[in-house]
Amino acid sequence: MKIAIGGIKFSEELLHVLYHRAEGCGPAFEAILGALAKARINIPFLTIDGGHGNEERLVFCVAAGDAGMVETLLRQLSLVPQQALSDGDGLSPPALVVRHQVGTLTLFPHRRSYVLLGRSIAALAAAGITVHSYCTSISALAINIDYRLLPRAVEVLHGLVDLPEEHSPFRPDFRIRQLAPERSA
Amino acid sequence: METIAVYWEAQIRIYGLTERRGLSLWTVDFPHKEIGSCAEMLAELDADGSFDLVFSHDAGTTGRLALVPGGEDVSRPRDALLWQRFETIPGAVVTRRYPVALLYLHGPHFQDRYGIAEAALAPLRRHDIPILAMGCAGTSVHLVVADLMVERVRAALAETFVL
Repeated sequence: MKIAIGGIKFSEELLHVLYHRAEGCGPAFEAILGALAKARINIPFLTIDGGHGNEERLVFCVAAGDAGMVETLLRQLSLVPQQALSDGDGLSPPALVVRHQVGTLTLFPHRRSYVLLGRSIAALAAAGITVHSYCTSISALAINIDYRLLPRAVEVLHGLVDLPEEHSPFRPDFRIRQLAPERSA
Repeated sequence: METIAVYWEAQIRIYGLTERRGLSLWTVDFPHKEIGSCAEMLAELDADGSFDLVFSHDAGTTGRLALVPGGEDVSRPRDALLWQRFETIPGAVVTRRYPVALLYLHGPHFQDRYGIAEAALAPLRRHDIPILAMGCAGTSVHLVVADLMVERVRAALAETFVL
C-alpha cells in the first residue's frame, strides 16, 4: 500500500560538504560556521555527529552560487578537499570531502514514522541513486542526492507514495534571500 | 521571483523551544553499500514506535546513522529489539548513549537565513557543552546533549535566541 504524503519539493543546486575531525586536529566546527555566517552564507542543511569521543563529523550544504566563496573560506581555514572517499579505503581525519551538483529532495510530512523514512531511502538505494546524507526536521525528511537525479528519484518514489492531486511544482518558483540590516548612523 | 527578507533582531526570535529528556542516542556505522538494508531495518521498526531525530551520511566506504527514537520507546525490551535489529546489518558497529536530551527550536524561515546554525552551536561551545548530535533541516534545529546538560544548554542558547 502506498503512503499518503503532503508533498515533495526540490532544492536549488547545492554544494555538499563533509568534514571529519578527530583529536582536535583541524579547525573547529564553530570556526567554519562562523566564517559562513560572517560571509552571510545560508546553510539549508546541516548535521553534526559528535558522540564518538574525540571524533566528530560535520555535514552541510550551501547554494551552488555560494560554492566558490565557501571553498575559499575553507582554504583560508587550511581545509583542502580530498578526492571522493569512495576511491579510498576510508576517512583519515582531518578530512574534507566536497561534492558539487547535489540537490535536496524533501518529503513531508514524515509523521515520525519509520516506514516513509526507511522505505524511501531503501527504494532510492535499490534504484542505484546514491544517498549522500539525510536528516529529519520536525515534519520533513530531507535527502541529499545528485542534483541531476532529483526527477529520477521522484519516479522511484511514485511507486511508494501518494501525492495530492493538485500538487505544486517540485521545483520552487521563488526563493527567499536574507539581507543584513543596514547599520543605523 | 525572489523575496528579500531583513531581520531586525538583536537576538533571534523563535516559535518555541521543546525539550525531551531520558532518551537514547543510537549510532550505527555500517558499510555504505548496506544503506538499503539499514533503511529496510528502519522501515520494519514502524510497528514498534517512532523517531524524534534521524540523520545519516555517506563517508565513502562507510555510512553512519544517528537515531533518537521517540520518548515513548525508551524501555529495556525496546532497546533489546533495536540492538537485535541493528546487529542484522552486515558489518555494523552499534553504540548507544543514555540518557540524552533532545532540544529543538524552530523559527521563521530558518532554512533561508544565514547564521542560525552558528547561533545554536557557538554558545554551547563557548560554555564547553559537548554536542552529541545536531541536525538542521527545514525550519528546525535539533540538539542532542547529555541529559544532565539541559539547564546549561538552555542558559547558553538564551545568549543568542529569545527563549
